[in-house]
Amino acid sequence: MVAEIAEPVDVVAIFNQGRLEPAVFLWNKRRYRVRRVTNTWRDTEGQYRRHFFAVLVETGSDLYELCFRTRDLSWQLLKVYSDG
Amino acid sequence: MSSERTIFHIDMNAFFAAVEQVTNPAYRGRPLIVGGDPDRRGVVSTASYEARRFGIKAGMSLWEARRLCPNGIFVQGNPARYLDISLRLLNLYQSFTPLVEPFSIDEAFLDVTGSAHLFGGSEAMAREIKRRMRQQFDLTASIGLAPNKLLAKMASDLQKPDGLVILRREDVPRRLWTLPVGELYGVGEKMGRHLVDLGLTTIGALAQAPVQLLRHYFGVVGETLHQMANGLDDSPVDPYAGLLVKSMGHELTLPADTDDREVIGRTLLQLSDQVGRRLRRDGYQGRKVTVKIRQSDFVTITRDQTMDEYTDLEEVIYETAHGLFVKNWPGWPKIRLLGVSVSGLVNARRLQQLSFWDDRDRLSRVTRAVDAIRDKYGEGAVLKARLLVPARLGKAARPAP
Repeated sequence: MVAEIAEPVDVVAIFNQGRLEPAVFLWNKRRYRVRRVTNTWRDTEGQYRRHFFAVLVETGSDLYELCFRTRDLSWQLLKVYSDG
Repeated sequence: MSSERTIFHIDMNAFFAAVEQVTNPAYRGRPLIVGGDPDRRGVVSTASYEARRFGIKAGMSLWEARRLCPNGIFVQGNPARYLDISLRLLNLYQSFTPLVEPFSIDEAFLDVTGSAHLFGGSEAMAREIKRRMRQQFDLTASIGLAPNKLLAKMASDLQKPDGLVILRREDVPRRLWTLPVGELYGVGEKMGRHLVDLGLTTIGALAQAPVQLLRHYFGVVGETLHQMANGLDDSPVDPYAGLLVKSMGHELTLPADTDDREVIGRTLLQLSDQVGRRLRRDGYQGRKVTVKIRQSDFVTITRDQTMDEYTDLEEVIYETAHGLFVKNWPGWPKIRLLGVSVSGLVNARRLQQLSFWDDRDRLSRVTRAVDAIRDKYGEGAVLKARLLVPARLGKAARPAP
């Protein structure tokens, strides 16, 4: 099942060797520590890039889709995929 | 040194489904169908190998797929995700040879004749590509390795998934000639039926048929068919092939069959808008507008009109497409799918140079101003009022990119 969220989130991210990866995000007053980034992809929004991350967190098996918008340097939680 | 070329055809295995299974590990090992919401209209875009065991194939209706595999996982495709990964795969290939020809979003030809020795030979190179593909993307591909594009393409089809097949000219009789003629790359359904009607049921029969007979029935194509069946093809791997655009078009399966002229008109406008936008972005103008109408009984009508002048403006494309529609659709049966395309393309810059004295009208200037806003802020930044429909319809009528 996919839940469309599209809400702004606060993210602690790591910039390393030209790569950007979310490490922790805060959503609904809860802290989610990223266990694994399963996939990344990019697209454009006008002249700006958007970076997408599919991540698993340390608790539970849900998959979270995060988006970093270079237009305003903001993060969003776009979707949550529940197992099953 | 041998003058024979070494060509790879790389075909990603169940690409969209594999990307989804990499993205979401919960989908791994399970029948996964990419194509959209099974409660709505649409067709299967890609099925995972687990889903294929239930008989699900690309192009099948989602409704049928759901019937065959009620417990399958149905996901809506994510074109941006597939395109980005496809471009990164092309980058990977280009680290092995500069001669890379993208063939589709999940297929490419590589000419490795000049670089294979740097990687310990062509077979070792193919294995290294597969290794890096797995390491960097967690994806698999079937690679066909042959002296030309045709045989490389046929070879990659011989072993799926995760195959590596070497096909030499001398292997053609043993490995290809027993296959049905319809399996020969480039032979479509109609051509296949025609060949079978002539008694040429296998690739081998086609290979051994007199060229004069084939020329008699198929003209120049007959000779090409004969060469192909014999494994001959001298077409080059062309990294710029994709840049030679002959037409641009979009089509959309409507969320429900309709005879509502407002919905039809709005859809044609939206499709025209997308085509015009692509023409302008890539610097083309075209003269021939084609409209495709698929009715609920699956009868498909395609009609075109050549205009007096070249255009890249959606208003002109829409007026022509809508006119063709009105002229050719009697009002029933209902419409299932609509498509708009523009062909007879020329480089717009060259056209402007030829007619530099011709002052562009206001519409053209407005269109370019709107393009500039969309380029900066995204496609949704400016919309035609007519396309601002209630959210439900708006979502339903949004064509796939």
